[in-house]
Amino acid sequence: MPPPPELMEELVEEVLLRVPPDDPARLFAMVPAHLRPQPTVHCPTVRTEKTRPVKQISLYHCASVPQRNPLAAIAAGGVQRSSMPPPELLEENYEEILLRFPPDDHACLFRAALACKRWCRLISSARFRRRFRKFHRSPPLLGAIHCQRSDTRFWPASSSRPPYAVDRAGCYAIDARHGRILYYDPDFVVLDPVTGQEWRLSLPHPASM
Amino acid sequence: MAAPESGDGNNGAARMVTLISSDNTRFEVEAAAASLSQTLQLTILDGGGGGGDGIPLPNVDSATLSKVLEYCIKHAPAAANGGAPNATAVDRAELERFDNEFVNIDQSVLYSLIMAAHNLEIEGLQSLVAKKVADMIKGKSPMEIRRTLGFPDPTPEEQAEMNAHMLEYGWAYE
Repeated sequence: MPPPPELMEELVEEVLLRVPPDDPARLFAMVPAHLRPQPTVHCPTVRTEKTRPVKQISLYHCASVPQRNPLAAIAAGGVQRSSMPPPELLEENYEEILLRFPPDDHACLFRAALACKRWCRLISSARFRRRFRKFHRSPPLLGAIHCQRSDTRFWPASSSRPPYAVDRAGCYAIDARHGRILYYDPDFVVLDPVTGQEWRLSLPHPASM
Repeated sequence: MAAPESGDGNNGAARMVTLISSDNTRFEVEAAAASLSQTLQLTILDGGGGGGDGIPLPNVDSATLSKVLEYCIKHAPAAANGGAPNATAVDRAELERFDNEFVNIDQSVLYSLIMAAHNLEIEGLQSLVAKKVADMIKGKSPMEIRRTLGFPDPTPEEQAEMNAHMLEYGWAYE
């Protein structure tokens, strides 16, 4: 089994977005600590001296957007008209926009996370994940698995295919839930089709039980 | 636009309130329409905005405010009916058509609107504009998103990082 690939936090975010609302803690615990999103650490725009504590709540507000009076921002936006570049929005405004990204095409949100660090941090935040799930009610559908005898094929539901959702010969898909697929090959293997992480469970042979 | 009395318990002519934009333009509007703003609703419930007083909105300019009120006036009757129970399909289609045309505007106006809607707490308007901006950028590459939103060009380091991501995670760009 190859070593697990090194992941960006955005990709971890993609995984976590699919965590069902009824079991977030358990699934989050399955993500290795070094892969969990750590927004403050990866945030070069926030010049936080190590001595200054960054509270979780301020994380959301400590964007590179200069802090300003929201109502003043309206005036600034209102005065500038078409010939000017659009005024810079507040973090809250961007959040409202990103919330309305289509849940069924996960690549859209992924690309948005790559557009700038601030968005990456925003999309990775627990608050955004929670709101995105609540807003769209159900986690996005990645695709369908089709079993033919002992082979399984993955049919992506959107234009983009999760990188590790490949067709597997000699594997039988038993179940899929919480963004994971359970194969039998003849060990039980739990695969995350987005990150490629595998958990392999060797069961004792029936004769030895 | 005359909002029909809809069993709110008000009597007589619809109550009017005055809103004053940052550039001192006065807008007289039905209280029901202005109350779509959660922020204004409190003031109006307290009896503010009537008579010659007016509610100053020192940071919303007249161009943005007139656009905001255009939305509020159109949506006030439906909101007074508590959403849609009594609304006919025709009414809903008409509102939808209005919404589609309403957001077919310059990007900087959209931005002013989303900020005003956020601060005045007009949920429907904020949702409408946010959806429009999301639709504008959802199919774009990270670089196109930056350009669309007027972000500054990435530094060479950021550019290199983006390129590396694109190579590594090509599936997101298919």
